Amino acid sequence: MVRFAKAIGETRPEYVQPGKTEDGKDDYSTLIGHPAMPAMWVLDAMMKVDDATMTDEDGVKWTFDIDFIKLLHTGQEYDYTDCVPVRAGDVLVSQGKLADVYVKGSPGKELLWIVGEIETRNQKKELVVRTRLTAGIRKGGYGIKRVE
Amino acid sequence: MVKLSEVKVGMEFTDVVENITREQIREYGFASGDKNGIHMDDKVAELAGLKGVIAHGLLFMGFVGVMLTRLADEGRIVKWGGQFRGSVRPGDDVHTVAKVTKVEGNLVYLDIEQYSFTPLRIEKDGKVVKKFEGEERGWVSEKDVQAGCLKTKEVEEGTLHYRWRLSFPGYAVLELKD
Repeated sequence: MVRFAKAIGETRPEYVQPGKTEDGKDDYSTLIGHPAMPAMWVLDAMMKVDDATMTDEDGVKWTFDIDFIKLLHTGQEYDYTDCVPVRAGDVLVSQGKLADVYVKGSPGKELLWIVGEIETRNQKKELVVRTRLTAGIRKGGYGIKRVE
Repeated sequence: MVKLSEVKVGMEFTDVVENITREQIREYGFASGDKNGIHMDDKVAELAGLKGVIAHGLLFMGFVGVMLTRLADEGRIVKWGGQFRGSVRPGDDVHTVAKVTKVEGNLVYLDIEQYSFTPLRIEKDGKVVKKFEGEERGWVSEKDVQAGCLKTKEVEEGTLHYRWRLSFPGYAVLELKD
């Protein structure tokens, strides 16, 4: 948490300066996660977009076939409404869903656009952040494949 | 930091992070876990056709985050986000402007525009007296030229030619206290 906050230039003590215990040791329980910190895990979550499956009218299950080399991360939003801060020692679990997917672009240069929405909760099931991210995948980098 | 009672629609706040370095980009890579070679290693970036490393989009978004925590002070950030429009490179300065568009109770709405400043060369009496990495590596694209991103200003050594390009347009909602 501290290294991430310092890497973006943060200096506020609640993000980078642990308190002290009575015996003079660092007390990380005083720290909270920086509002930019979900960057540490949402990209991994996005890479799992090809875990998403869809079932067609014939009951056949399909999934994305994505070449992540051709992926451009184009947008990111964080919503902290009714959220609690991340604290040292938390165990965070993210659950994502594909909010939108469409093909758009000039002829011959169409991109597959994906919009993912991810909710991250701590070990008490409390919401810590909702993230929305957008990415475009260049032509030749996307398709679908049948799930065996 | 800004107090709720002092905020007015139209107010602007600015922040500048000067001279982004390769070390800074690499450190962000280690801190965030995104160690993709296009950010960490010039050779890998060149193989990807990028003419050298680029900063992580989430790093220059992070600069906005730092600006917002300072503005919010004892308050908090409710929502924020934006789009990654242009790459940021070593040697760039990153300028962020946040403009108040609405105040509703204790909620303050901001429009954010972040620009990268890329120095290219200094000319004096028609001669180039200093070249920066952006000029030497050819970071200016035809798209930059067409979009009017190339500008000049007078500096002590002569006329500085530079690129001024939108890197991150976004928004934020802060909950402020007095």
